[in-house]
Amino acid sequence: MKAVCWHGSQDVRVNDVPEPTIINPRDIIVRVTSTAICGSDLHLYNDFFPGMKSGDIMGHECMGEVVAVGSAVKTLVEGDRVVVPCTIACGGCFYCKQHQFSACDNSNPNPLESSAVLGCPGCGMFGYSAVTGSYAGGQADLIRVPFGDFGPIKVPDGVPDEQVLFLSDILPTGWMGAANCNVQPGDVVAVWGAGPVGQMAIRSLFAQGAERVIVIDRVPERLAIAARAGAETFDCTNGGVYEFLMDRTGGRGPDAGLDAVGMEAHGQGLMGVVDRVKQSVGIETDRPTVLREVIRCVRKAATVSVLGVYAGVADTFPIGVAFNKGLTFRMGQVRVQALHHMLLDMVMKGAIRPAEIITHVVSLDEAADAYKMFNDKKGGCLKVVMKPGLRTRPTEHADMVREVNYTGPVPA
Amino acid sequence: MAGNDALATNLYENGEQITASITIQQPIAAVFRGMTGILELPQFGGELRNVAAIGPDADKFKFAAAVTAGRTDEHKLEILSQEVDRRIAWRSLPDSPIAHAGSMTLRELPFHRGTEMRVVIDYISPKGTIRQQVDKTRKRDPETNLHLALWRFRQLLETGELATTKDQPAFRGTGRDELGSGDEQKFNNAKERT
Repeated sequence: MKAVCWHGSQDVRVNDVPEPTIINPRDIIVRVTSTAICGSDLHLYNDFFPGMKSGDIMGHECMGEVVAVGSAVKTLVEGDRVVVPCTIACGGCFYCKQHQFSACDNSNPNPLESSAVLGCPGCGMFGYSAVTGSYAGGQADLIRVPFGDFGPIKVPDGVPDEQVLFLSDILPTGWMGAANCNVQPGDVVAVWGAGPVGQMAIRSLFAQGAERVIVIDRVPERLAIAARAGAETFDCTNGGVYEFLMDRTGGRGPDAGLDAVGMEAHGQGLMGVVDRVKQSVGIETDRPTVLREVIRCVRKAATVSVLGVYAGVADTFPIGVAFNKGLTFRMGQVRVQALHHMLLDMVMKGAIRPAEIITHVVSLDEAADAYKMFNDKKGGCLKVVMKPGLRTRPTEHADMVREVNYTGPVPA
Repeated sequence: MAGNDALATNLYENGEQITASITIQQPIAAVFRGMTGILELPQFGGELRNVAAIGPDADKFKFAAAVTAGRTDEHKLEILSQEVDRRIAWRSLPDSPIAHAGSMTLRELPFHRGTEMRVVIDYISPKGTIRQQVDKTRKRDPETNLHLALWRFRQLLETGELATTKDQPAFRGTGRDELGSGDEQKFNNAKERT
């Protein structure tokens, strides 16, 4: 089968690899019909996240059709259409019982690697290095899904892939980040990063009752898409974020701040340069530029929600400011399985339309170009969906995108 | 039993102790059942094989434990005491490759928070033997191995299977990943790159 394989920094290729097989009784095999490139894939693409091995299959956002089930799987049958959560959860451990699925004790077969790098044995994830278990990813024709009887969510026929695909990661991620902001009536929330997750967070914040959402990014096209969802926007290319936010919040600062950027933030000024140098020589893994700015900008006693991925250690974390402001920090990997049923319902009712952020639909063969375009934030690229079934290059991407941005009546 | 009196003295004078605890999201009876049945679990990491009672005594067992590829040790154990849903204690018989004594104690937590399991093992470190070389290549200390064993035991009890990424498809030029998961090299690479 074909799969998008990692071969080093900024080097992904489509290779022929063996097809996956059922290994454990609770496994299922899914023929992938749609798979997306996630912002967090760029941490691997740029070789910032440890534990990748040349030839590993990428991708953790995918959906498709069940083509084989293990002997213990009673909840799904061949032919079912499912969205596969990016995080793998067993459903039986202490954390899963408490719906803290991304803390699952049992889904990561490499607890030592995970502990060494992340500081704790995290859950298994698809296509995200030895640290999360070395599971082969979903940017492939087929994927083996462990604990297939628990994680994947069945989706009805008739609704386009693109409307439900993001239930696997960015939609629940954005929703959880918004929920972590603990939105109260009248709240103004600032969101750093108008990438796919930031876009989902903006929509989720409004759905959860935020009065205003202010979005900070450097890419005009992304800010425009955020504005379409009702957010106020600020281009931070030349700095001035603090002054802007103070001006827009009557000098008080936002009630909550959401970091949807993470460890590869592009810092300005001296501190940004220092972080870049530290990261390149390996004495700091994460560039916490955005996190610093969030802490500085939010009001006293605000909530800081961290969605952007951090992997290791960050320097010059302003703990004093955070303490003296009395901030509450909430963060962590998304708990997909706790949210996807509710979010599927919202998608089916048209209450949230995740497909509107898709800018490119391509075949799997075009993965290398698509990664480069997404990484360089060129071509208006915000979200790429790849179709493993599609072997020829679509002549008119714009038509494809119009087609998937289905806004007609939603099938019951 | 002279040999085992000697074991007690030897452990007291020269033994090293390792301990590990884990909390399993199952009622205490299920954990105890799992523990007493563990030697019959063929899935348990593939490390324990050919379990059999020794002679007519149901409290003496032998089993083979894989040390490394192509090499297994035959262990012989004697159950010293067994208290249902509470505790099991055992010690090695004189001609076992590692002289040791151990116990496993259970405690059920309130409010359905599962069962705590604590294992204590006193053993004579087999330094200067082939085992030392083997330990070196595996690069894992006995305590880590014990933790991993408990971790796998919990997995079996909580999910009914052992998570694995062995034989996952990947492009390695030749095809499947020959190394499988848990490979030390990957672990070290990950550490170096952090």
